[in-house]
Amino acid sequence: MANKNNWRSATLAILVLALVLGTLFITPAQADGGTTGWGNFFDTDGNLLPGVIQAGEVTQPASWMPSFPDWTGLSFDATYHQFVAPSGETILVPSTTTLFFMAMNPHESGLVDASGQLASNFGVGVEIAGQLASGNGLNFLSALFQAVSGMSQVQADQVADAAINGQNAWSLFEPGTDLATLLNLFYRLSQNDGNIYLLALLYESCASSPAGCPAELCAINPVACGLPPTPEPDIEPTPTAPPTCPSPSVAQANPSLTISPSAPPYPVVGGQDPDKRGADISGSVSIPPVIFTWYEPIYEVTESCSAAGANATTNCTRPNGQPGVLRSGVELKECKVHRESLPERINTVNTRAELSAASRDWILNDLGSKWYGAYVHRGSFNLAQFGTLTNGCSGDGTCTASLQAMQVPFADPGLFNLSIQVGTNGTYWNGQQITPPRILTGRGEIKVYVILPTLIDASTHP
Amino acid sequence: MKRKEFVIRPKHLILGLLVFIAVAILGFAVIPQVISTFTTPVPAEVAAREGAQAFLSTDYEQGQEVWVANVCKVASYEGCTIVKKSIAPMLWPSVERGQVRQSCQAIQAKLVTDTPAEGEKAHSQVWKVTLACIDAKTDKTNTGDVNVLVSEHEQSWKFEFVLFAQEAQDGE
Repeated sequence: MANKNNWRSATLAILVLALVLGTLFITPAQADGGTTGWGNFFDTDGNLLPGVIQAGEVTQPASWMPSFPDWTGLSFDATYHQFVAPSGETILVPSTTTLFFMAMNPHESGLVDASGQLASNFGVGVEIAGQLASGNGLNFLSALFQAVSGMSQVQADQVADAAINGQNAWSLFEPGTDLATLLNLFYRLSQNDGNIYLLALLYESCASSPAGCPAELCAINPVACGLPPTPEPDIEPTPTAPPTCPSPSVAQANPSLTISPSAPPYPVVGGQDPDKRGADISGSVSIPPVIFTWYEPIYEVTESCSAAGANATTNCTRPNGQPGVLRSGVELKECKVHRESLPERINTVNTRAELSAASRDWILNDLGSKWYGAYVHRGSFNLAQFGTLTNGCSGDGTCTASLQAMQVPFADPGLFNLSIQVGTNGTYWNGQQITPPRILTGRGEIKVYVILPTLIDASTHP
Repeated sequence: MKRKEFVIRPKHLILGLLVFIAVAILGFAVIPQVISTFTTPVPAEVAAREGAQAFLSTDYEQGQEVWVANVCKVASYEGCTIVKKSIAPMLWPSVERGQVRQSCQAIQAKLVTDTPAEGEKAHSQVWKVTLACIDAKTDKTNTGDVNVLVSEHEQSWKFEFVLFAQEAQDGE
């Protein structure tokens, strides 16, 4: 573990040093403002940026690595340190042994696919891909072989030349002994320097790097791993009720009902009224209209490309690039307000005069003691028989009823309770009841006077 | 009481000295040969056989450390170091991945190359060793060849490591 930490520290040291020192080792392709390339991994202080996956030491079988005979079941894995940015860009730092065999197989190992390198302790700050393209890759590989293995330039040139040309570079080694020397050298190199990592390779995508993409990244960003985007669940959308408007509302002002005598000021009981004037009674009812407010939803038909169900034929492309099925839908554009003034029509009108209980009692007891045989002649009666009733609704929806009862003969003295009672139909709109029928009552009173003769001792009043 | 007297004469001293010299010469001449009969240097073939057996007998359940220790028992110091530091970290993942559990026995060996010592390079040989490896999980036996590098250290042959297939092809 401590050894791994040494490696990691050494790797970071390589990269940070190179970044701080500027573009000495950075190939032009990456020196573009730090928003791509190495700048995607480390800040200027050398700290790992958030989101960068430090996959640690990765070992993987690789076809270009030397191998043991198949029947042994053993292979010799490539070993790297791997850093992967959220975009998929990858820094790969092969172990010295791995780097050596990458150099022996620069094409197969993906060494030439790297878009940039940072070299630590061999001064070959050149871009191998560009070098190979321009025909000078020999210099890079030769320098690499010399730096890694301590070969002479002549031998390194031969190995590099064979490697670049895809020839069998193994033929240049003495079987066993040379490789034993090299492996021992790699070990001592790492042991002595604490720095087995000599070269950091930058790949534009983890998918093109020899180490591939870490599963952690592919789960988060499959596109960065060269995978199709995570498909949305192919579930046919369940039709949902389109958004609608507010519920209708009902409002109505209070009705007014009045009934009262209008003349004369002191009406007298009919038997004592020589002119048979009686009393005039007026009644009125006014029922304001019911204001019914409702909202008309205005929909617009829209078409959208949505997920296709199983076995459905697709005919459009969804916003995420996946095929889908064109479906029509409705979209609420606005709610048009409607206010209806609904008349609450009056269907019945009752107007009555009712002698109060107190007056009834007074007639029978008090008055009866003075006028023998006094009784209640007509304690309750319909006022409408003495006048006219009108009933109707105006254009604004207000419904009214009125009573004009003239010269109503009150046969009994006392207090009469007057009432005007109306029944309504309620209100309807488009055949639908908006408010229920109701009964409204208005009340008033009238005093009916009686003239009583009184014996007065005139001698006491000169 | 009767007393005995011994008289050492010069001729007895000379005779004793001659006998001592003869025994000493005999001892120096014979003892190393006797010792050598009990500590016979391991022949290259045996080193190659034992090395190949240890190298290919892998058991992921026993782990990397046990495997390295077994190899190092029959390897040279340098071979042990290479196996421990360079080869094991890059080979053992394949053993764990394939859950390899096999025990190998060398059947025969044939000398391929013999490279005399030169400068700092020790006398080395490459042997083609044929092994039979029994899979502990299936009891099936795999048979095949590997090329093994051995080197001579102080008149004793030691295992270095098994050559890669690429080297073997090149060497043949």
